[in-house]
Amino acid sequence: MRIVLNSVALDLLEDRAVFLPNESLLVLADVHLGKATGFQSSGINIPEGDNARDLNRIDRLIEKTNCQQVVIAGDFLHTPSGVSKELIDLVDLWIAHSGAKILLVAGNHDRRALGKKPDFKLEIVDRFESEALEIIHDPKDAGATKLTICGHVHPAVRINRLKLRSACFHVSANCVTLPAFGSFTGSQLVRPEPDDRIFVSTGKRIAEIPVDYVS
Amino acid sequence: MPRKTPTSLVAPFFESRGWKPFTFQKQTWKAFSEGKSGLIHAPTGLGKTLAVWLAPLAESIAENNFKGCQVLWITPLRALALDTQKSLEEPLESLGLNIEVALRTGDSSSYQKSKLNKKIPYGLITTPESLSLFLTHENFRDNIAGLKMVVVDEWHELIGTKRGVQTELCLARLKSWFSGLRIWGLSATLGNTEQAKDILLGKLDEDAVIISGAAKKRIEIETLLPSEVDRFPWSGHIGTRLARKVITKLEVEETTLLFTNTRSQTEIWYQELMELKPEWHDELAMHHGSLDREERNLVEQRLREGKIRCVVCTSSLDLGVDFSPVSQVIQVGSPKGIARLMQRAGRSGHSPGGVSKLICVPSNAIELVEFAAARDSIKEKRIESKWPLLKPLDVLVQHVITICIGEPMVADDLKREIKSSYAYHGLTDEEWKWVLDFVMKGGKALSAYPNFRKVVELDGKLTIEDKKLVQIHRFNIGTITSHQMVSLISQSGRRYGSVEESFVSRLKKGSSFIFGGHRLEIVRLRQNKATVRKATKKSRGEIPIWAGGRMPLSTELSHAVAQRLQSGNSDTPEMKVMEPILKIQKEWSKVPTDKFLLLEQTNVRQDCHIFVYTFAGRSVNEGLGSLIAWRITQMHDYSIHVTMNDYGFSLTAKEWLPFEESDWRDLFSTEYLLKNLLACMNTAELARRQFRDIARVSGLVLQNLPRGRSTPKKDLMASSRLLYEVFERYDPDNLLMHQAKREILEGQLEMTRLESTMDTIQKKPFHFQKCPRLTPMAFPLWADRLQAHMHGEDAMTRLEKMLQTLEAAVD
Repeated sequence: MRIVLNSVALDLLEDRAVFLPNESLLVLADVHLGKATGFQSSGINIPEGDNARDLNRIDRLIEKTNCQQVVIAGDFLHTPSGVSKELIDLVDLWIAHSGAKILLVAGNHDRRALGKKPDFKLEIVDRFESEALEIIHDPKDAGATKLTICGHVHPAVRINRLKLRSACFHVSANCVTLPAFGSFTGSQLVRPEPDDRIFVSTGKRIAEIPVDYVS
Repeated sequence: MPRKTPTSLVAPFFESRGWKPFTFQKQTWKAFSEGKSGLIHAPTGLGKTLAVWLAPLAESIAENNFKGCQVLWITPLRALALDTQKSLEEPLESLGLNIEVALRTGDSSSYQKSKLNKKIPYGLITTPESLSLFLTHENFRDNIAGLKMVVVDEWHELIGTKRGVQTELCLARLKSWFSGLRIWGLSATLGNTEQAKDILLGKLDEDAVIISGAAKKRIEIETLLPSEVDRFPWSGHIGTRLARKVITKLEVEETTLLFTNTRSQTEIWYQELMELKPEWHDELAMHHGSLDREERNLVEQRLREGKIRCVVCTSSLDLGVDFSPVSQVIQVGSPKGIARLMQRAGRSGHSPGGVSKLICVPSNAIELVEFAAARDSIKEKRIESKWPLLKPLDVLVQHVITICIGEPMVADDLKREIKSSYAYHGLTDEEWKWVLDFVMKGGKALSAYPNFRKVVELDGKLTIEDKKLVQIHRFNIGTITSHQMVSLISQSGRRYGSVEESFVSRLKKGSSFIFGGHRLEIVRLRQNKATVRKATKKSRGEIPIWAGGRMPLSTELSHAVAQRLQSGNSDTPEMKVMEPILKIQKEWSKVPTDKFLLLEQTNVRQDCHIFVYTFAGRSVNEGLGSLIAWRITQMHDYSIHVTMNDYGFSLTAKEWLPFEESDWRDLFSTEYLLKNLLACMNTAELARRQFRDIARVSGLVLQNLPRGRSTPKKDLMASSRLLYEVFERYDPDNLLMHQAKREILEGQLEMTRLESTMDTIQKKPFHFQKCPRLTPMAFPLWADRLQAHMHGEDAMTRLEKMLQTLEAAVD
């Protein structure tokens, strides 16, 4: 579904990402790679297949949109104990083979997880800025003027009459908060203001939900 | 000198009170002195506690040995522990004994806890959780080296639960440590007392005895009757229209316990009584599990002192605690089960030989029959059984880790010990191997979990080396899953109690709600704390609905109700009131019983309704109704709504529904039962919810984390829903996933009861009746229909439909 904010066209994608056709830019947030791995090192046995699965999902989006660059709006990684050798190898291989340039805007989890291991082949910045927009991790750092794309919140809404909870895109003024991309991530209910806009995936398409339908 | 008998050794205590020991108490002392284990069953308040406690004391007096811990006392409710401690201390002085009875529960102070980790006095009262926790301390075995006896109090409450299984496993451990250990259970009377004993003692213990409490306690049941029968509702479950009559009952007695079936009803009845009798302000109280602990203690204290006229309460006052001054008990709404009603009745006349007075308050017509039927059953001693829970692997996973922390063990020895318990006597080698893989390698599906480590094998013994993991495990021992609760605190810091997060999050800003008898509104909500103030507006306010499904009527009681309806006698006041209602039922249709299957068809406006009366209890009717609706939709493509209660279910459709015997014989067929049920009940969704408990018990979801850990708490938190999806993707054959499905089928849908219901139905004649109007039996099902819609479609399809309607409206 295409929306236009601050004269920038944004395609909200069903698989929890946004594509900017004019910039050939794919943006997603909160992948939390290595979360299951981190659980394991604390004695909690959870299968870790989602690391590879989520990187694959990004590949498919790159193919589909034919974008030149992917910007991850923070929290690509989850926790220091999750950054195993296997994960570093997996990510490095993925970067080498993906058809687009990959850039990470560091999130709070990344800073902790990367602490002692700067040896990823991953380009990391504090924020991404172009003439038209900025991409940051935490919406509270948003500037006032430009279009902002961010993550961090893992937004979700509950649609009252269907008793259905769903991850969502939350648009507030000129700021878009993306749903968490990672398969093994939770979500947090947001309470939209009357002028906000909420978009969810129905499994077939992206649809806008009137804010008075959610609690 | 001849050896003194136990009875003579404890005689000074009885003399000091002017009492005489009961026969069953003497039997217990004798059996114990002969080295036997056993189970004592009797109603509450008949001296069971003294019967078991004086047995080891007599032996210690004879041996003149009071060294170390000799008695462990396991109680299911930590709230009861304090009262138990008092009653165990009571006889000590008159026996001239200077021994100590200590408490160790989740409520104990950390000073107390660390003191007990070093040294344990003669008697120790504890909960199943705290006992498990003791097992993780390597010096525990030495600290209880002189253990004579383990007592399991309120055993009937533990049977069939995961806490009960946890207790069985702990007992297996203690038995393998101390070969002469005697285990005694205290239980209310059950339909399967013999099995209750076997579940407690594990492998068949030939010598073990069952001792029945001597004195029979009389129960007098009176039902409050509505004065205008024709205006008495046929359905509903909160009606307070008999409140005025209840008031007259409260006026004549000193102290009354008024039991309701839910916390919401408790709030409603408290409000109602306060409105009718504002002058009783200081004499009315309320007690339910969500109220703040201190508030509840205060109520219990005042109750004991005889300062309260009436406490409106839920099952939170069902157990243990002795409130001698209670002179009558009132039950509001369906009794649900015979044992439960007896237990509640037993709260009054709570002294040996006393009479229990029970007043029943029906909220709808059918409950009149339930009360009459309950009286029949009590007279005929037809009491429900409690069935054991078998092989829950999540509890086993937790226990294996507990053991490996406390005392490294050879795997085969551990297996033998576990199989000596009743719950796991049928554990297969494959299941055992799976459990070992799960705790050692992390799982079976993916061989490489390089980062996983928990249980390791050192010198042939299973152990856990990582101190961090040991600490996390200790913080998460137990099988109780707590809901996400929000505590309610006033601006001045007064704690009211807690409500479910889901209730608070649904509240609109500024709207008020009733809690603990106060009308409150939320000032602000931060994480799990809500600051509240007394509401200023005069609105009535919402009443929180707490989680916890409606309890189904027991098989025994539904059977008794069917018999009551069948006999057609108006020999009790309740049945006299029912007479005109049953007359209408008979004129318009037939009075259903369990001798035949009655099916009624009635058209209301455009809808076709079919009502089927099975007498099978709510959860079986839920499964049965959904199954039959699903089978019809497989042949005819339209949507059907299902409604159920304890007596039957109804199907509603806009179109025609089959109403021929041959069709319905097929619909009730048990062929492909499991497959069809799985297909229609959205078991995946149900299992996902059930997985929450299993994930918590098996350590996949951490409920608590030790303070001061470097890893932030949130990093190790994941919802059980997410976990379920991950396992579904990568490890669908994980036995814990199977367990979730099995628990749904057995627990929620009562698969066994459902199957046997279908079998019996096939053997009965069917009676088809077309009715021009809704009959008295049909009405409650019809009135409930808006509460239970069955959706043929998944959530996403419904979302898509909603959007289409929305978009159409915009165009």
